[in-house]
Amino acid sequence: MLALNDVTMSFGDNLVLDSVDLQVARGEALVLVGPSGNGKTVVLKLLAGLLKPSAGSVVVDDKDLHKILRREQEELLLKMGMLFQKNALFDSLKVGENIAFPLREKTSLSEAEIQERVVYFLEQVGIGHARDLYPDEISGGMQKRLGIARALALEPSIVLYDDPTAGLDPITSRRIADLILTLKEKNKSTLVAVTNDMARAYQLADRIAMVVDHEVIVTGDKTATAAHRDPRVRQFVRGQLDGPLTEAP
Amino acid sequence: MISFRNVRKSFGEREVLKGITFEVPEGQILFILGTSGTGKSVLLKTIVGLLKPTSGEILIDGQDVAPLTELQMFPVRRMCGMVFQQPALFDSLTIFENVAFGMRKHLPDLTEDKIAARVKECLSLVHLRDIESKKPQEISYGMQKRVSLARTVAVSPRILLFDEPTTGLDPVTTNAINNLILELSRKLNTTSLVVSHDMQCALAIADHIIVLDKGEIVEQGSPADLKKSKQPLVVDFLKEALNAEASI
Repeated sequence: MLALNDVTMSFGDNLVLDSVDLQVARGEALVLVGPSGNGKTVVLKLLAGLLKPSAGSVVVDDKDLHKILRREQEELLLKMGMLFQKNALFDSLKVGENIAFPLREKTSLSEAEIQERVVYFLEQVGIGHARDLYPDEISGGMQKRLGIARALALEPSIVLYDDPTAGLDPITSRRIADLILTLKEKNKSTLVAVTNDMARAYQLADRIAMVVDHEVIVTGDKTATAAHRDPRVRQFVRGQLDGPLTEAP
Repeated sequence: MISFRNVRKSFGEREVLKGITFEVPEGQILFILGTSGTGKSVLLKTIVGLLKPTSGEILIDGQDVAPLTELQMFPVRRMCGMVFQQPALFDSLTIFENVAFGMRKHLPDLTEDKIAARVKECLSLVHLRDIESKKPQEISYGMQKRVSLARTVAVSPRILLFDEPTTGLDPVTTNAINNLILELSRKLNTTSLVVSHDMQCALAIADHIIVLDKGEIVEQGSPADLKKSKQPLVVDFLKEALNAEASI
């Protein structure tokens, strides 16, 4: 279980989230959508413990993430994997080593076990053949898949994806989203993803939530989201040019 | 008129463009569609000489620009306005100075009054006003994208080159930018080349579409032609476009 309870988040004078509540159930796939600059990634980073809320609490497995001992916190965070928007791969390490690195840092696995896991996860995302190449020698789609494999190699029970298909063509995007769902089923993990692409949001989500105007509006599943009555949600999912989202402030 | 005649481009042993031939008549909008990593951006960059083709001809108004030196490329680049994926505005300059930047550089004879009038005109072309004194970080990302369009058209290019102009944008901003590509191209009578993944948009605003796969043109034609295509990649793209439409 993952939750934001009455969370307010400001950066200096800039209020991003105002008393927000959000729950993600175990095994659920929640997708965050919303206009750029409204705080989708902030929500994701709060859930990942990468940002501390200005007020309110972040709860992971019934524990308040910022009110527990450092060691307990690290244990909780180890359950999470995160894919960053730009993948954040190590340029100077080969594809296989990008996956081995966090395993060496964070687990007590033997080198043989690490290599076994590297092979397994590269195969899972379909880039086993690229093990000895450097990240800049593979395509953008393959880099994404490598980022996903690295996030999953620590076998996290919660996986957070920041725009996992950004910049990819729709055919590759659908394949990546299929892969994310297959791996989620296999590992019985909980998923929170950020995307701007409604086709992908509908493909991935059990529930969708829109981050807008300092709020998080949980809009429900595909049918409920498509028929949602909030004018901001309606405008966003339909991509309409006129509406509350595009009115001058 | 822009013509590609059997253009090839290799990086080391890897051939990225494998003999590309097509034409864009003056004033038309051409979409270049294809999956990620298939040579679309490379093709765009060869037009302005950011990359040189390994062989073949690239004719702009009958002149082959492929063999030109950096210095000779200068007037060609002045004809072309390139819109990048990111707005690439100068953070430290106001919106006014961002739009005026190219004019000050390339049209040194313009008076301040004329520059101010032109900035206003270009911002109104992208449906923005009263934001001249703001800095880029004070306006939304969608507005920044529009300012970058205004900046590009400010120096009156005859050719507009768009490199994935809507990638990563939310649905509302995507539609706004697509509308602007069409509006600007028609109003300013530019020849426009748009590299894109967005079949839905291509069908809506392109005069002509070429589909690139692994460095080759696998299909081309008008939107109506493309809709009837049986080429497997085109069929996949059409399916995704239909999917996107159905999700609305």
